[in-house]
Formats: sequence, C-alpha cells, structure tokens
Amino acid sequence: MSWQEIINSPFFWRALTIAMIIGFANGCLSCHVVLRKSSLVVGAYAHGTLPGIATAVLLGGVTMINVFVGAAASALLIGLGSVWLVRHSRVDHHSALALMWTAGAAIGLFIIDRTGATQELEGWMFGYILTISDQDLWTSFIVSSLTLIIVVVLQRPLLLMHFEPDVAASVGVPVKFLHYLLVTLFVLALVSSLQAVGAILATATLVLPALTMTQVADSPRKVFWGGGLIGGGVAGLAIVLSHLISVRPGALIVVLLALVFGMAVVFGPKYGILHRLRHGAHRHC
Amino acid sequence: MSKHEHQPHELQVRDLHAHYGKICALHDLSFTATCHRGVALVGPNGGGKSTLLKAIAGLVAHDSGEILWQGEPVGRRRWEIAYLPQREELDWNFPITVEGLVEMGRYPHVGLMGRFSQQDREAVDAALEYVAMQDLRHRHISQLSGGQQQRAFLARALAQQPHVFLLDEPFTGLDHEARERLHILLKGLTEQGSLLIASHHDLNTLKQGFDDVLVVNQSKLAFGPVEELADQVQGLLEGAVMS
Repeated sequence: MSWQEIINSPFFWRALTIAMIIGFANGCLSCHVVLRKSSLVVGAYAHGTLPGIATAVLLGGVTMINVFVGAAASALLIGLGSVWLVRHSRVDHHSALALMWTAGAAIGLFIIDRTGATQELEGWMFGYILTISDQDLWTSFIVSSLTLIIVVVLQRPLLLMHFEPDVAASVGVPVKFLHYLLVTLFVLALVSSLQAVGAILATATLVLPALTMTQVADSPRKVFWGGGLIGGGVAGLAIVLSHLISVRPGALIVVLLALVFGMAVVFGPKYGILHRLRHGAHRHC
Repeated sequence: MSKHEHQPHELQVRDLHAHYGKICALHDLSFTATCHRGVALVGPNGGGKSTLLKAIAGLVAHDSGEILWQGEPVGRRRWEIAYLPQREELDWNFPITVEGLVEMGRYPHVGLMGRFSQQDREAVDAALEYVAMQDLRHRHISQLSGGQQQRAFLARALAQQPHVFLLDEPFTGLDHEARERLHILLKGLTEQGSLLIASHHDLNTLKQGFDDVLVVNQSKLAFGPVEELADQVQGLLEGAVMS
C-alpha cells in the first residue's frame, strides 16, 4: 500500500489505536509479569486459551463475546487447576502448568476439528487486527484502562510482594489476594489482546517490554512506564510497517519487541554486553 | 536513630505452638523480651529459630498461644516490627538501587498513593547515614559486597522506624570485618531503645553482640542474660542435638 492509501484507510487508524493501547497497557503490566517471574506462567495461560476459544466457537459460533468468555474461562481454569494440582499432589507448579496447557491444547484441537472454523480460530490464536470493530476498540480500551489503574494504585504493595513476599506480609500486605488479582489481570490482558496479536503472541507483549527495561533500568518505576512506552511505541511502528511491507501485524509486533530486547542486551548503557566488554564486568566491593 | 521516646515495652510470647503440616515446629514456648535488649536466638538447625521469628512477624499462623507487643496482639501494630529474612532468598537482579530499597521501608507509612513527605525523605537519609551508605545510595543492590547488602537491608528496616527488629541469620556469609561492623550497628540500635532478636550461630560473639540469649529447640531450653548463660549454651545445644 502507498502512504496515501494507508492514511486514508479507517482500518489502519483503528488498528493503530488498538495496537498502541494494548501495547502500552501490556507493556506496563509486563513489569509485574517479569518481576514476579511469571513469564512462563503467562505463556501457559496463553496456550491454555485454545480449548476455551474452540469450545466457545463450537457452542455459540465465532463472536467476540463468545471468544472472550471462552478464552478467559479456559485460562483461569488452567491457572487454578495447576494450583490445585500442586496442593494435592507431588507435582511442582511449572510441571503442573505444562501438563494442563498441553492437555488443554490437545483437547482444543479435537474441538477445532468439530467446529470446522479453523481459519477463524487461527485468527484468534495469532491475531487479526485489521478486522477490529469499534466495539472491540472500546472493549480493549476499557480493559486496558482498568488494568492500568489497578496496577498503578497497587504499585507499592505489589513491588514489596515481588521483591520480599515475607517482608510484605509482615507489614500487612495481603499477598495471597494480590497474587490471585495479578493472575486475573494477566488473563484479562491476554484476552483483551486476542484480536490484536492473538493469544499465543500476546505472551511476548506481556513479557518483552519489561524484560528490555530490566537490561537498562535500576528502578521498578522506570521498568513499569518504560515498558509501557516500548510496548505502545513498538506496536504502533509494527502496524505502520506491516501496512507498508504486507506482513502479519501481530507477528511483526513480537519480532520488533524481540529486536529491541536484543539491542538492549547488546548496547545497554550500564549492563549491555558491549559496555561490560569495554569496562570489564566487576563487582564493587 | 529512632525518634520515639522509649518506655520499657515488652514483647510477650506465651505458650506458643506452631506446626508445618503434621510436623511440630514449636511447642510450649514462652518468654518476655524488653526494649533496649539484643536477644541472640540460638538453637540447632531445624530447631524452630526461623519459625519463631516468622511467628512474631505474623508470617506463620500459630495453633495456640499468643504473641503480644505492648500488651496487644502483634498483628495490630505490624509496622512497629521489622523483619529481615535471610539474604539468600532474594533476587539480586531485581531492578532496585540502595535508595529505592530503603524507600520501601517507608511504604507502610506513605500508603498506596501518598507522596513522599519531607519526613519520609529525612527517615530515608537518616537510615542511610546510620549504616554509612549515603555514597552508595544510587548503586544497584547486586553491586554491593555482602556486608554492604546486609547494611542496606538494615537501613530499609530502620526507615520503617520500628521498635522491634527481627533478623534471620544476619551474620551468615559476612567476613570478619563486616560482622564486626554489623555488631556495632545492632548494638547501637538496642542502646537507642529498640528490641532486637536475631538468630545467631557464632557462640564466640554472644557476649560481644547481645544482652540476652534464647536457646530454642522446638521449645525454650533457656532464656536469660548472656553473662549468666553464655557458658551453658554450648552444652544445651549439644544436648539438643543428641536428643
């Protein structure tokens, strides 16, 4: 497409807006995913949406609300099911998650064969941002705003909990409640990202922005807001580029996020590989 | 350091029982410790030292008994008790500087959305000054030596302005010089009116660093002034291990 065609396309502006909203919100939230060491957990939730989406489509057809409810229920079921398994067996949390989401994905595949809606389902798993409606835009905006407000208000107790859960609990932070709240917010963020980047690729938007910031910043506040700026900026850039070179926008968002992360690892001003090679890695004593 | 006018406040532990699942961690444990005292918590591995500290900090639910601070259950005055866990349990890559860490000590005072006041800033500065780490305030926590890390975490606890300090193995992993320095800092806290309880292994430094000693092996084996008990502690521990 030419620049003129892109600028005159209402699909482009809608896609750009929703990508930047979701990119910013997920980028901010990624601070808590990374500091809580929940990257793999979020990946498992993302894969766990498949059977829910497939079941919802089988029962009610491909509508946005069906997909949202199915994905959220399925991811929550896998999250809570893995916690139940850990408490009632000798299985560790990561193994329990691996078991739950692989079993869920397998069941999802059986259901997909029944639905015959393979192409639509692929859109939900890997994103199809150009078909976004005004209603989708508002849904994502509301979910993203709500998520952001909650994590901004609870920033201090959340950080205490990530860093020293025992100390947090000793000064009265309700760590169990906050843990379940965060799980719910992670699932909500995943579900609100379904149409933009898809369930699978959404994991990257919930991990890579903050992971990039941890390579260059020494303050949780910078990781939080910097993650948001990287997430929103990269998503916007990816939408523009995807129109110019005709590639999947969701996949391009993830590739660009990975590139930015790689640059931070190599060129980071304080902890980057080049900096350490130049100045020598040393501990101050 | 502390801005509080200290009365001889008491921490009372009465008939404490605590279990981890089916395993009994503590039973029939009672003692009363007061401000201005440094208590060395001594006992064999698995004897319940960490569990006792966590129970006082409100982290381990006890089956029966009570823990009172100034006559009230400890849960009602949480911020008056600062707990420092073992350093080995921490993520040293967490993106935080010494100053950011010490500011965390003010969170219970500042609240969810409150801005840091001049008083909060002064508390952070005073805590950093007490542990002599003003010059390292912008350094990442992973770039500190073991002794500096322990002092930084002590400063975080100080910024909370508590009355009671609970320290789990604070001297573990420190070299001789760092241990000496930490002993002096902790001694200073008790002289200023705080109550300090620290799990401790080095029986040779009991008299140097503490006023009282509490010997624990699931229940209380002995409690009293270090001057009176120091010579008996080794025998009590050997007896506990043999039993």
